[in-house]
Amino acid sequence: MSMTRNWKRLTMGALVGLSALATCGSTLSFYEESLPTTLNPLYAASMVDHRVNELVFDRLYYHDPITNELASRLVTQWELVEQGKAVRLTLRKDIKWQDGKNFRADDVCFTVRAMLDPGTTSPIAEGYRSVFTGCEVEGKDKAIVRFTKIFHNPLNRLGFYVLPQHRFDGDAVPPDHDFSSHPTGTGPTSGNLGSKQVNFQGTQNGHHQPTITELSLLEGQDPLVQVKTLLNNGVQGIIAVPPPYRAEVSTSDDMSLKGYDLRSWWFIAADQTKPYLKDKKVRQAINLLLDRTDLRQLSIGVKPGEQNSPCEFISGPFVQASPYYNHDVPVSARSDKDRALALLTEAGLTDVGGRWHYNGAPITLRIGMKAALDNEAPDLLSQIGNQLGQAGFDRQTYKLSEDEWNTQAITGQLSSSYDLLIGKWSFGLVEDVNALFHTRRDGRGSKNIFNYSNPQVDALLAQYESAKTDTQARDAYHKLHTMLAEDLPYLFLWKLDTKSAWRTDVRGTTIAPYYYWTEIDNWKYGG
Amino acid sequence: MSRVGSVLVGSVLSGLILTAALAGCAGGDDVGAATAPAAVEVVPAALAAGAWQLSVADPSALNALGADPGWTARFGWDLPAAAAAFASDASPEGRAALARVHAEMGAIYRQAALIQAWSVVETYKPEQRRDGDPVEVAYLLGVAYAALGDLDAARANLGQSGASAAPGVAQVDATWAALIAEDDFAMGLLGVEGLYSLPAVTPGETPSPRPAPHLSLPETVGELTVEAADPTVSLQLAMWHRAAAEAADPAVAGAVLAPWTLPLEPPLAVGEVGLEALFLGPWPTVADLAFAATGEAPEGSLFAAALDACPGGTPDLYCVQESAQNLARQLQAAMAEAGGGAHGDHRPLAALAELGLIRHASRRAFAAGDKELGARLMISAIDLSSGPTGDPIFLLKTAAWDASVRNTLRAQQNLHGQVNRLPGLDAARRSLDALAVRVSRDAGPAVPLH
Repeated sequence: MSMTRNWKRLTMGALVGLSALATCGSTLSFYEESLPTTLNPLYAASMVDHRVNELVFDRLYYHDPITNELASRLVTQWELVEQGKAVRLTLRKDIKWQDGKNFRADDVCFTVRAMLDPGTTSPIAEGYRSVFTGCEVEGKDKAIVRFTKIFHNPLNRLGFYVLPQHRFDGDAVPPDHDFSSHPTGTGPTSGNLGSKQVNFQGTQNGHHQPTITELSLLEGQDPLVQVKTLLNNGVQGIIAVPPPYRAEVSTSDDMSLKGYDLRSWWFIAADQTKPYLKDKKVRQAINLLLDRTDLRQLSIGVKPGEQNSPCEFISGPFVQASPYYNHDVPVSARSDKDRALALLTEAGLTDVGGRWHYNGAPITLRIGMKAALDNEAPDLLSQIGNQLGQAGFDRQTYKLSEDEWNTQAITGQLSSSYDLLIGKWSFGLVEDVNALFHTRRDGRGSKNIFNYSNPQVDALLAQYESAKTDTQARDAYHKLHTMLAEDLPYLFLWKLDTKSAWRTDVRGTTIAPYYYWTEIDNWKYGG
Repeated sequence: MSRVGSVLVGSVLSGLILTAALAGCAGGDDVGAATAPAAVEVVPAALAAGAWQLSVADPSALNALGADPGWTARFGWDLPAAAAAFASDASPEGRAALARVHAEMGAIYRQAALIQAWSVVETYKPEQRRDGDPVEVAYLLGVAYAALGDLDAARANLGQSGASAAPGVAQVDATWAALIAEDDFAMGLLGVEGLYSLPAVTPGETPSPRPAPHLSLPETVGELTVEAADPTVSLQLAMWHRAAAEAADPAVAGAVLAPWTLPLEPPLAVGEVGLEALFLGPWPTVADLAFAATGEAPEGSLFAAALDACPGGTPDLYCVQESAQNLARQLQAAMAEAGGGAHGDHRPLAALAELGLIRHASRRAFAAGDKELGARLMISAIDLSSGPTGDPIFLLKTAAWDASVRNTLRAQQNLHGQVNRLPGLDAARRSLDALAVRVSRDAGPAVPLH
């Protein structure tokens, strides 16, 4: 990175910092990776969307981020009924929606019905259709939620966000409803989605007494600018600080790093509908051409051989700490150009003047990346392009906006536009990857980027889904890992851990694993 | 608040200050352009003077220790290398240092055993049992309860698998059932026929155990087997290192292991020990070590004095964090005075006391039954534990606690970072993985998010 660029970034950072300072007052401002695409929890597609849910809504049940005890802010009592296939919930009576209306059992049952309604085209709702059969209201404050079967620990299945019935005309909740920008929740703050930032107002309620009266979510930008702005108190927090900038945060008395437990891994999806990528050998060759060690060093700043790196290579669709990760499948840390060359030749590609050709025409790889990832791994897109370019592939690189990624990439509509797409998936406790790799049909494979389809993979995903024992489930995913590492619908890159930075004058900054803001009522800032 | 891990990491990133000093190639003076902070007296100066940090405040004292490859390895938490290096030093200091690292390895295996024990209990206790679970989980539960000190539950579960066709189970089960009939059986785990074999205890060596899985237990539904790790192996390794530490220097072995002994072990006492028992550790004085081990604060404890300074003598999160930060500053200032000026290494060494006090306060809160405060302090300490301050004993202890409350996400992350630290720790991962799968399959649906 040139000195000139650094100065430009620093100057920009100072300007941004001053600008934010001029407006922040006692508002708690923070940088997110991007702006949320929706404030409707049923349609949360990104981690930003997901985190924001926790500010505006309440989950019916949640795990205490400190003690991990199962808790509810909405339910006072529960009992198993109907031979264990249903639970009767007694709800608190002192809770209001942020528009002043009373929270009632109708809202719980409405949310269940909304998720069961085929008109609610939400992948999250889709998952709940195998859990619930319905819900019945008993008076104002009692709801009976019925399950498809008897579950061990059934309350664990009630971790959904409750929506207000009065904001919708019927049971179906469509994604483009005004609610997605101007939601009404029972959570600790009310929020409105703006074009440049999201503002949240603390709301007092029977079950929430946040001490922070206003929060402001700003779209993340160049990480150096973010850190300098934090240092200048232009913002008070950064949700995800890239590894190269963590040392600077650490050594300051005014800022502290906070661990944020979630499981995120990075990948390059390969479009197998392209004739030259259809042959597995070509995908394997490209996989071998990538020198992940160099990529990681150049984009994330991890030196070769560094111990306990925040960035760890993976060979399949799980982080190495996961029980589903198959440690028998080796990672590819360094490139192997000889093997790659042999595979490309076997696949019928020809080297003409140092450029790879297929059927007599040069191959130009169109490589896209979700733009926000450039903050976490600066220059990754160009470094991948460089490595493939040096190996003899013409290439064009593109950054995709949040909207393009959300509405086109993960919905499988970019097959004709790109050959390779660089992205990241994040998970909490549940690491269900069926939506990523299952053939797109009947609501399955809803996040299958290039519409990958492999009957053997589908069979393993079905095996996981229907597993009767834990061993069967794990066995299915271990086999899946092996198969995907061979078939390579994705070239798997690495897991990158996430650290937040908060100014030390923000107190009580407990970060809930995966959900982040669960403890916001206890955060303190100013006043 | 300032930042223990971060300071050390910062030091390492910005020029390996401490590492260089410990490697004996320092030029500590060249990197000593540090400024001591304004002194904040959290504890009486006379008490602070007893901290091990003051003993190494003079750069020449630190360089003398740094010339020893054993301490260099210990700084990077390469305990097998440290043990091997210290074993070649027959001096009393060398023996003490050797005992120290064996005791620390023993403490690590104790935490591994606890991770396994809690994982087994939370996976297979009656209310969490599932159709298909192998019948031999009774044996695993028996060992787990023994590790946790619930000998009645252990006895109730052991000796039930005599008819098992799973290879090896009947033998280890019968051996355990006989062992646990005795009151004082912990050291009997070493060398007893019928369990897993380990080499003879030799200070300076690090035995590699039989790799996990140790047992293949057929599920009662379908054709698959649970490939299980037996917590017995971690317990045996814990006892092996205790014996090695005691052979090297019984006083140091007792002091360093005392805070980590399991309920099934004979208790250990903290006596008078030297710098080798404390250097680079979380406890500034022997009195602090004793406080951690017994819960009673003897005279000379900096931690007791620092916590007493909290209003009403009842520490809360903020008070502990502030006291810890101020204690580090006080020690840093005292080091500058004792060492003839501020030096770049003073801050990271003093900061170890900051982390130590938070960890200690967490331990006290848990002991007092305040799970909420204990966990908040523990999380605060985790945030400060990275790089050289990433004490594997503490991080594995947090993983064991998380396993006990079924918080597998964080437990797995903290265990994963340590699993290659010593041979055989992957056994803990295997047990925790079983719990993680069970807990995740119990959760509601979720989709991947970008």
